[in-house]
Amino acid sequence: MTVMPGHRPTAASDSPGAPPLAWRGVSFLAGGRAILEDLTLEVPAGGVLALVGPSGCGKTTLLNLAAGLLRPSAGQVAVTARRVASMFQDARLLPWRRARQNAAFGLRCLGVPRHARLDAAQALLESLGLAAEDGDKFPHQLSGGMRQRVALARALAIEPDLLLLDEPFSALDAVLRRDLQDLVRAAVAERAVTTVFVTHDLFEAARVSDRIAVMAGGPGRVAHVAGPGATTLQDHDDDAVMARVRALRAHPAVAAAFRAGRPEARP
Amino acid sequence: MHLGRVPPRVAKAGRQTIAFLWRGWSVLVSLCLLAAVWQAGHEVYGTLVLPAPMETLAALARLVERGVAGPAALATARDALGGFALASLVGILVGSVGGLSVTAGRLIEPLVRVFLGIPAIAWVVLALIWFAGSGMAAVFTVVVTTLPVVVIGAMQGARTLDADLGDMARAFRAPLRVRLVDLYLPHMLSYVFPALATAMGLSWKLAVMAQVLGGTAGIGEGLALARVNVDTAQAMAWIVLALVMLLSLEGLVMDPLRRRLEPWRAPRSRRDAGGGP
Repeated sequence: MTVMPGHRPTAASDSPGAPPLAWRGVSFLAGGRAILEDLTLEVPAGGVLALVGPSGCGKTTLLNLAAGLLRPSAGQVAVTARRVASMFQDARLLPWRRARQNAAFGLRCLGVPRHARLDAAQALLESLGLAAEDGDKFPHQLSGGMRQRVALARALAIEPDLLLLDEPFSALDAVLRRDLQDLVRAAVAERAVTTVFVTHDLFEAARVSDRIAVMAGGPGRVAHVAGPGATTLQDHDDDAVMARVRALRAHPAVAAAFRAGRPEARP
Repeated sequence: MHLGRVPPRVAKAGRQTIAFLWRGWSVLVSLCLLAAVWQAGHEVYGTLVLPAPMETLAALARLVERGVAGPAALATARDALGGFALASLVGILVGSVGGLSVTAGRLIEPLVRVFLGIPAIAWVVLALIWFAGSGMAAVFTVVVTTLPVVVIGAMQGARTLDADLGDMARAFRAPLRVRLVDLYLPHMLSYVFPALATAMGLSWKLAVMAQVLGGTAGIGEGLALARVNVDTAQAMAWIVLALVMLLSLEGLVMDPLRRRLEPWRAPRSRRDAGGGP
């Protein structure tokens, strides 16, 4: 098991129950085309699992199945997690609600009283690097990075035990992306939330996650699953990330998956 | 200026007051300009064609004193606002259905176009034939003319509901009540409110028009009477009365309501310059 800061290293081994999320023999058809075919993947409790693969390989579909936004055509999506939170490629904030109210949206859905949820949301926003007065702003008054922080706060506010991230950094510029990656990693590690992270960028996957499931397209399937290996998440410096990416790329299944989706495999 | 030392809340209130006074000032200036042109027209063409602004105000004062203006204004308000309320209610319902269901939308859209194409005056004529003497002609005209405007607004609103936001709400297991209050209503409002503002202005004018032609009680009746008596000052007085009522409704009710309901539509210039994350 991977050692993560603030995370009990034995979390998985001392809870022998079902994994928080598993896709078992899942197929998904859209418009007569098979997006996913007989895909089986278990997400063990704790840590970050990256689903990485070329564009159009069904990563987002897989995540939407887990979020309950889609139903599989065949197979089973088993979610034993109590609370599931999502973060999307764009922040998807309500334009007519202030940042604080947006961050409190999940709590509102759970029926938390107004004052309690707004106070919790404000505290969370500030802990994620927003200024106190930013809580009063409307989404259009915030920059892209700040909006994603609000979306992260909205997801973390409900204290999820399963967090689904769908390319949450891809709309940001390089510097901002690194900041937010570190922020998400730290937040997730601190709370020991099981996290599934979808990206098309192998570097990003290597930087943020402990486990990496490489998907291949047409129809989507899991080509290769790489465990945390020798690198612990504390040393996710650039050399370690590069080494990890090189090791992954050396694997024939990974190389094949990314060759097939060449044009969009790397940003 | 030492604005830096002023607490932000006070500074904000100060800015708002200045902005309000400035708006009031500019309105006053443009009204005075209009009055000046009006007065000039009066000097050239004489009282019969264009009575002076002060004569008009005096005529209005006489109407108020005689106890004619008040009941007439109330009757017009009743016709305009009653028709407006009915059209809003039905329009929002029909428009929402038309926006949510593709089939219903296809059925409703040609109807809306047909009704929008019918001249308002045609409706007045029909209303006078159908509702002669019942006093319902004005309300009917207002309803059928403003209804398509509201339907279009509501239809656009329901059609453009953001599927991504809907997915987000579903991912957070939002109950129906939360989805209605936080998602659908604010979105619909942003489309329906401008349509309602248009319908409001329209309903006022149509009520007066139907009253002029139908001779039913109200500002329109006063106008018709002034025409018969060739009393231009009185006609102008009725026009001023109708205008003041409509403008105060817009300025004192609709605009504050808009600001209260849609603070998130802040002017773009106030958008932060960006910068930090």
